[in-house]
Amino acid sequence: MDHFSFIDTIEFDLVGIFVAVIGILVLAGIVFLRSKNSITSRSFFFFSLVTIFWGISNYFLYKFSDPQDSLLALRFHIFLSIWHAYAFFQLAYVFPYATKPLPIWHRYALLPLAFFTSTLLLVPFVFQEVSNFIPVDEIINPEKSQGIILAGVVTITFFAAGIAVLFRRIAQTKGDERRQVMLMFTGMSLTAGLLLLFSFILPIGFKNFDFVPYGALFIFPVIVFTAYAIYIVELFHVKNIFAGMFTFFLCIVSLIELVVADTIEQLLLRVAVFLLTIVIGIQLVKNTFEIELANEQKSELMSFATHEIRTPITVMRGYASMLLDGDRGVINSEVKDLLQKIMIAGNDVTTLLSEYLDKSKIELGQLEYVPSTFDVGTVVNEVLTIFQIHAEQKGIALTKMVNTNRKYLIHMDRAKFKEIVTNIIDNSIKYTPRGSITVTIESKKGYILVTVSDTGVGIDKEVMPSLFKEFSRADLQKVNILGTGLGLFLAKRFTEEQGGTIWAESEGKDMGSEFYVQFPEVFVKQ
Amino acid sequence: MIVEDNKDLQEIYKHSFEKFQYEVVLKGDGLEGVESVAEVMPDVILLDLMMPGMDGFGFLKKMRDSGWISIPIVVCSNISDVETVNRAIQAGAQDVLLKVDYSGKQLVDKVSLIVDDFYSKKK
Repeated sequence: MDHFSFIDTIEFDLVGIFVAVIGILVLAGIVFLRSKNSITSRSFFFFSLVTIFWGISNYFLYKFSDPQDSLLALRFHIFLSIWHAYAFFQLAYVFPYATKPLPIWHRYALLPLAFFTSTLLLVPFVFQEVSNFIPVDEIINPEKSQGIILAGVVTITFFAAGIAVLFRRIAQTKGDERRQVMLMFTGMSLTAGLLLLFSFILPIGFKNFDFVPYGALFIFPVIVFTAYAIYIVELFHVKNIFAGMFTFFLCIVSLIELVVADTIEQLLLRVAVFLLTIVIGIQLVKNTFEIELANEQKSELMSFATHEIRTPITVMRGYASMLLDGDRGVINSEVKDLLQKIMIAGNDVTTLLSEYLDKSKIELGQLEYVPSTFDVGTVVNEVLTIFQIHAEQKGIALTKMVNTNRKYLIHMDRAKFKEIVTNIIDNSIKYTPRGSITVTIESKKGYILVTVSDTGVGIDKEVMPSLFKEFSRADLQKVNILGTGLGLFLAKRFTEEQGGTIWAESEGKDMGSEFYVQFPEVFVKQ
Repeated sequence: MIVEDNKDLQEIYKHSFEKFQYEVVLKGDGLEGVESVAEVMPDVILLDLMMPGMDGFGFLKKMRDSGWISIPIVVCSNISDVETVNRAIQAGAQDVLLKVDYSGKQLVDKVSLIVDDFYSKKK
């Protein structure tokens, strides 16, 4: 068994670090490149980079035999520990949203705190007092100084704050979002358990330092689980990536087996296994990529079809609008009524198209947001202008209550916000046979709250829990409703994925209903 | 200046803007548009993306390459992909509007808001 002797010379801890660094880099790179605009992707990338450097410094901490080198590694390691905990908090705070503004105290308190403490620990100022390093089985044993306490307090505070944010989010979120947070939390727990066992209990309780240098490997679970959670909505791509990685791994393993074969029979058998692995692997990767290609084509076709249908509708509405405005002479009430019906039909097709397009984008994992800062009042006005005709046709009043002397700024995807408001008002108009609908915009406790209240059919208690679910329709028999049954589902999804909250309230049947959407307010310096 | 190949939309847009005292010049594709910018010197350009010959992106590129950055270009298209919107903004569009979302006065109001914003920032 000569060929096994090389295993003795392999530095497993180095291989472990290498695997962890490559793995983290690949996952962070994929997540970042797939959605560069998402705050979660960016924070994840930052956290991953700090993890890599932290893992490397953790490795070298126990590899240097010279006390001066170790001192340097220790300083750098503790410097990175603070940034690591800070990056974890930031990630936990924005996770899993594509846009979520960090609070003002983040910029003026947390960031300076991390910067100040870490820099202080990097310069000799604090660590000059750590004079003696005693190598014990390759492990440095630093004398404790007050600097370490400071680092410990700051690191633990950041880490605990991150965990607290995650706990709060688990309590507050539901559905897919909760699953995402739970996944990240599971990864975090695994990592915490591994670090606790191998970096604290074994070294301190049992004087076993063998596993300490593997630090980066122990952080791997949180990275893998978080990366997977970010892409839980884009399973197609994850499947492709994993199929590719899995095949690559299998091929490497069978190639190594082939190289270390002892006998000619073993060699022949392993050549066969290797070839089979390659053939099946290529087929697997090919199939998954073909599925992705088919999905891409489906998505392109959908976009093209949407464009082609939208253009004649724009023309139809354009001419109808010209006639309605009296640009081609005065029209009588009967003609006006018919023209309004044409406009409404056009609006309905437009809404249906957008909803189907969004749904197909969600299914293909291609939903993206382009955040910008804008005035909620302007968008609500645009939507109300479109729906005035609908309200007029149904004989209901559609009004707005808003202070027009100020702006209500929020930061998110403007087009998606317009869809949220459109879907809610569309829903209210459909379920309000008489009476009125009022849209209110307010600034409340750091949030912009949009309320749509109607005097419609109301929402039964039994219907309430499934109100925002796909294809959920309340009281179908009572009201003749046309629609995809996707409107409120999409509104909820767009709201929550961008850091907002949406909910509905109703006293019950025939008591009307109120829909609420709120997003953090953006304050711009004048 | 309106660069749009669809004759019906040309008519609708021309009518909408003229109603609010705008002078309108119509061009049927990107190349026609580029060739007449210097002569027309418009205050704003309304640009379609999918056109025969030179499309909207070709127009944006040509405008930027020729140094025409002092005229706001508002892309008015029925493509709503994030990718397309980003590409148009990066290519120099001031804003991207979904055609089907705006008609008549709404379009005129929206475009004049974008134009006011553009010129006030320039000051």
